[in-house]
Amino acid sequence: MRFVESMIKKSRLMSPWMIHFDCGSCNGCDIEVLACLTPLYDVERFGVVNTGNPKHADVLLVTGTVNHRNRHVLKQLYEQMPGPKAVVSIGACNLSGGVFKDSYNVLNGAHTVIPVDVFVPGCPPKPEAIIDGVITALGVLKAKMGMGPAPEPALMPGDADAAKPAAAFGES
Amino acid sequence: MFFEAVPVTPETLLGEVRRLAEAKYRFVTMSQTVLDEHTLCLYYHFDENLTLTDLRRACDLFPQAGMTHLRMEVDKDRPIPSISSIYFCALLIENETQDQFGVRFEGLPLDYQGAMYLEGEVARGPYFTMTTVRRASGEALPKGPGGEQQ
Amino acid sequence: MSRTTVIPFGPQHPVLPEPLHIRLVVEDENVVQAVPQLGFVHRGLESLVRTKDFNQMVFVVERICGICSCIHANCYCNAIEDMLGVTAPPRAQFLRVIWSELHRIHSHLLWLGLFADAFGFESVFHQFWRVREHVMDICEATAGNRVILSINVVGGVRRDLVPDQIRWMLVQLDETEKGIRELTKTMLNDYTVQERTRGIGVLTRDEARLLGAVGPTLRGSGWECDERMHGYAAYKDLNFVPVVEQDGDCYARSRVRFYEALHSVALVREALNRLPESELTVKLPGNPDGESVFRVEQPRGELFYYVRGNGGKMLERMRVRTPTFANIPPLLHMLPGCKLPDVPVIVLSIDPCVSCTER
Repeated sequence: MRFVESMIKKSRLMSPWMIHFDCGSCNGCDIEVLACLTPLYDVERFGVVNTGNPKHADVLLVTGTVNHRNRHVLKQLYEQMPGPKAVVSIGACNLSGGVFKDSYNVLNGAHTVIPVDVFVPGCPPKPEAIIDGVITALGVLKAKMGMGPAPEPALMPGDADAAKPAAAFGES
Repeated sequence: MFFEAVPVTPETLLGEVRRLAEAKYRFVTMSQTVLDEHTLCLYYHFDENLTLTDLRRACDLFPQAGMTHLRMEVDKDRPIPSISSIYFCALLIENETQDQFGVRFEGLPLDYQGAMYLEGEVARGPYFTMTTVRRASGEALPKGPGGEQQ
Repeated sequence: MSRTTVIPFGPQHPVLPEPLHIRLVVEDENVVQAVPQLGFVHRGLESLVRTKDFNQMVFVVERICGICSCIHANCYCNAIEDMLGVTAPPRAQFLRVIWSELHRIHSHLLWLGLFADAFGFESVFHQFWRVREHVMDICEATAGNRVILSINVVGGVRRDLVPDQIRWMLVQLDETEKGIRELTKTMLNDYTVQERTRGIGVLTRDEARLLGAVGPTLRGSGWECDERMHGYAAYKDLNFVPVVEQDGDCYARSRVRFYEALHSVALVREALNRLPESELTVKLPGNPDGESVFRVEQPRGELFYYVRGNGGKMLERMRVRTPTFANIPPLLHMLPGCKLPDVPVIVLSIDPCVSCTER
């Protein structure tokens, strides 16, 4: 029985199915996510298949600004996915609200609604960066299944400076 | 381009729009501007240029030729006549105006009751009451409809 | 006795890359009513004019829609320039046309691919997106980003093209055109494609005008109406002819987009060959004051900007009417009466761009 279980886990990792939900993006990130599926970037070589059904999916790709209306949809989609699952947040708007942060209808990012595992910055990020994010999410998924260590958080240049205490924000 | 607008009132609006509809104009859109706390200025933009005219040679003289504009000032608290009975396509833009400015239109065939875009979390009429939500600093910015005028 | 059922279409639907929700009231297999629900993408960015000055707003309007961002910025800059009483230099006008038309090509190819996917022709989807990567390469090599180019500023453009780049672009454009022409037979003459798209979602000539359709939806119904005929930017100097089809069905609309993509390749080539020498920007005489409207042609149709300044750095009001916003009433008119399996094809045939619609 344990053999069967580990086989299922292994095969899930070899062929992770992803679902893409566009919260309220400008389409820039969406077409880059779609471009990942097309012949030049071809994410299917990693066994990744795009599905429209949350019940079939292992990885959730979220793009765009989260607002008061679509956050319910996002939460529902996340809850419908079977565990273990990983969430990749793509693009500046989805990370923090981006240029629209000051607007009355925009929340501060997907991580305020659902737990996010991998952040892919950029406006929009290149398909290479998105594929990298998906592959990192597979590491997270592996750790969640208890089959390996969690991936080290990768810092971008400048992250060490930005990690100051909150009181220091806004003064510089 | 600075444009010329024909002034109308809520009483004469429907007649004027019907005249344009009979002259086979195409309804482009509506623009809204807040004039003061109670007054909203609505522009109705129409386009007659659906014919075979090539305006490229005359473009320096008339950069946006073929457009007709109506200008109407309305009271925020009074219902505004809807032109959706004449131009069905005005439906969405009138609903959007209801959302963003907290006004009411009369006679909409499909009325979202001010919830086409916005969920209950957002205060009604965001363009009248406030312009931005500043989260971190927490300072309430009492802004008039004129915004940050110097 | 037939019964009516309500079927929700979206917000998460396989053929839609974006959240658009339509409630379809169906009677057996026939759609009798369609009610849209919007607001999943509403960001309220028209309110941002109060917090960003008119130069910074260029970056915000570019992010209304990632597919045609350059054209949004072009329209906004033209509206502000009109208000300020300046004109961008000739070379800037030509460069704006070049990047705008590149966006039109990649948008149409993207749509043709998605449309093929909607009627179950997945290999054509992959082929169109493969061809489209040539255009994305040109954008990346000349402007530095694949999707959002940020080359427009108020008063001109930010980047120039050097002769080496122009030569390389012409080679890439030839590749693009070859790729599109190879797909002509499959996309336009194939029996199964015609079977799925001909006679579906018909919008007659009069309905198109009354319902305020714009762009390929209007031109597919026989109206020769294209904002580029007004000759903004450098279109007055280029050899531009609008593409018009008479049938008004989904097939006519896909033909319009297909030939427009080819025509845009020709326009970019012509503009590259006739690029005049001049400065890239003009100096701005102050802050915008007054009201102004401007219209340009987006891949999806006519884009309309209304801006109002008050002499300060911040604009007082900006209003954007995007083409999909105008094309939703025709869509609501086309859907009743069709069969349920045709709904994705009809919805896609207006090229819905929900992020544009709701801003």
